[in-house]
Amino acid sequence: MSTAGQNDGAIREVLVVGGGTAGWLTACHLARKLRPTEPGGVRVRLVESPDIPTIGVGEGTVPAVRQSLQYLGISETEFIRECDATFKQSIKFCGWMQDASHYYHHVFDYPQRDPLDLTPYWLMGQAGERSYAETVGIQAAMCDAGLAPKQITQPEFAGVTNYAYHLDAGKFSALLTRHATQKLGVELIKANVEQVHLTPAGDIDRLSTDRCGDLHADFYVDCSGFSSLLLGQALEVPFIDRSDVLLADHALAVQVPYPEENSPIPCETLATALPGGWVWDIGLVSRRGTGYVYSSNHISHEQAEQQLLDYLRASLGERAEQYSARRIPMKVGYRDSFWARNCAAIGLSQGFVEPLEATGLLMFDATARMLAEQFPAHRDLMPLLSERFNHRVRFAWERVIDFIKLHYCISDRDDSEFWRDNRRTETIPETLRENLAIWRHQPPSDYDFSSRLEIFNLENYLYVLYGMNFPTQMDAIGYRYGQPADALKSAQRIAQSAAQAGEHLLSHRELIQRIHQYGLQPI
Amino acid sequence: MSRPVPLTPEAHGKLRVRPGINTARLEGQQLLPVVVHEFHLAGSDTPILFVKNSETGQFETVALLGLSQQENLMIDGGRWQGNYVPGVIRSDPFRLISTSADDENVVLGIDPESPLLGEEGEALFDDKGEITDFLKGRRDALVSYIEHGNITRAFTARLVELDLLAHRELTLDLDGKKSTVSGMYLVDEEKLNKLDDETLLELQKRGFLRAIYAHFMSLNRIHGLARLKIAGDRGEG
Repeated sequence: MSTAGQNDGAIREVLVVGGGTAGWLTACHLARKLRPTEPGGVRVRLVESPDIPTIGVGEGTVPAVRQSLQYLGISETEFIRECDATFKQSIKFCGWMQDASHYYHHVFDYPQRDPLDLTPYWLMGQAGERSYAETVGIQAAMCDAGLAPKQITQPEFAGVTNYAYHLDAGKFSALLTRHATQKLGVELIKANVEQVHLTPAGDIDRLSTDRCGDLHADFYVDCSGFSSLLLGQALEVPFIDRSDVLLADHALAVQVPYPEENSPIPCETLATALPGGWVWDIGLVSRRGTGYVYSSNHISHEQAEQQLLDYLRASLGERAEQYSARRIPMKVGYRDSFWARNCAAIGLSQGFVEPLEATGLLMFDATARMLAEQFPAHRDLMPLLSERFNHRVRFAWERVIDFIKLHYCISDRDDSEFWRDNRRTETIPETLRENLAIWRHQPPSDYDFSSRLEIFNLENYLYVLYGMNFPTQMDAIGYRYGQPADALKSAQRIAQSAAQAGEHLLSHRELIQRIHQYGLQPI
Repeated sequence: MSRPVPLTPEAHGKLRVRPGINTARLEGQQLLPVVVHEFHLAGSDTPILFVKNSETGQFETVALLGLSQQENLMIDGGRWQGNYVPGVIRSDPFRLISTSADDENVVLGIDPESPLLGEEGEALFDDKGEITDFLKGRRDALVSYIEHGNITRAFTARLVELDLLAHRELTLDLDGKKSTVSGMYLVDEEKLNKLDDETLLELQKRGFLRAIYAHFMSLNRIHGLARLKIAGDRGEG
């Protein structure tokens, strides 16, 4: 029997329930911090159903994933080779404005602010004619040119520009499984959880399984997905539905090939707006993961299928009809708390929003690391720590929802009820309304994002606001910005380095091929 | 160097190769590949360093011949200035040519435009079209050079695996002017000294430890290059 039987309040065992990306990422973060193989370390186990197949959807990430991979000790070469990963430098939003030809990049490089923040000058038309993203950095032009974000001679995780990845989530999960069990000392239990038993006080006591008997731990992490087996079902923490803000409630997902075997791999996620929502298009090495996020209150499932097919026809022609999409209902929102008693939830069991800004893996990763860093040293600390955790994670979800909503509510699309409903005041969270009221008269400032827990910051808002022509009125405050000549020079310098970037960089597909052939060096 | 062509008695029956060094192809070449077996010899003339191949990103071991790109200070007046002639130069004008993608099958080839070719020197084929002992010797030397190249790759791979390489900029004082050689990697001596006994013994038994120390000892030769550079600049001025 385990040492957990001793009732001294020490936490010696943690059990992660569920083995998807969220579960394995959580297990990795916990084991990295809690060191199960060291004397005195916390035992980390993960129970995974042997019967649920993993689905290899293409998924996007944000640059923070690079720090996490590095921190967990995973080689970038191995990651790229084993997860069909490609580089991602931006999200390219097409058709989000009424003008059908309009597109803009939300790139990962922050706008250059040294020697001068060009934003106010760009708003006053004093920093040249280019789009906002092209004015403040080189990355938008690099994406349009199909260039890779790094050179083959650069070490793992280093780049010319800031980047993240597109990856096959099923393969990523498999890589994390191997890393967790072989390198970090996580124990894997293959069984189906049949029942959750509570103590008289209401904590989780143990789980009954179909083939491994009862499993007991001092702390549980619920990574069971939408079903939220522990936090939602056993501990009855309610779900807060946010479909009043984010109107899309279904997705159609389908994997399709490239038009040609060697078609260029876009170095950005494509997010194309349609009458009832938007389509994601994520390029892996040999195929694309696509899907339509839509509101079934505004268009029928059949209309959605037809609109997705039309989208795919543009690149694949008649071949597009061979692929049938899987329909997935989406439950938008989050739990009322994310850590209750001796159980925290990470992953879809915690909350979900549409994948517009690749918040899925981002939230798994950020909250898993947060939990590992603040893991209770003692039972008595749980009420205090859980209160803080809940406060922080709640704040993060609310800000994520604000940011996603921003993309919809500043659009001028007027071709369907879906887009018009998205601008109705009662669908816009108050925090976002307040920010937008200020930003109509002055550009956003770092002070508008003063919490260290912001998931999306000033830079992210700038790209979306001004990519979508948000009308900040500068007339009254123009006197504050007295260096128009310097601004123009600075913008010209940036345009020049953007034009030269291609001399030192390979195409995206070529770099991926060389990494598969030669690998990247760790230094 | 032009593209090597396969060597055949039909095409090259009358050809002779004179001894010497094809310095023409070394003009303007700052880096010269060296194999681990010759570090101690080549390293007495020039620094032996690690660089990344710009096409593959993989580490290669090289002799540094100049202090800036397209500079070779070890060739002067058409003569090689070192005491030791590295294997890659000695193998001129012969090359092995892969005939399959996996490098499994190779044939002996020759640089058709090498100035070492002509009517003087050693014959490659006898009257019957059989290869001469001279060519046999050169072929065997080339094959063992290729094997040494494989061992050298295993050497650098092991150093990378052990996290022993470190990026360094080499800064020099050239007659009062600062000059920087960038893109170079060295073995980090501190990290080497922290290796456990078992790993050190493994490096020693594979001949890698001796190569690492030859690399260390060679680093001071950069001052020799600086002297050549200063002498050259003054001579020209």
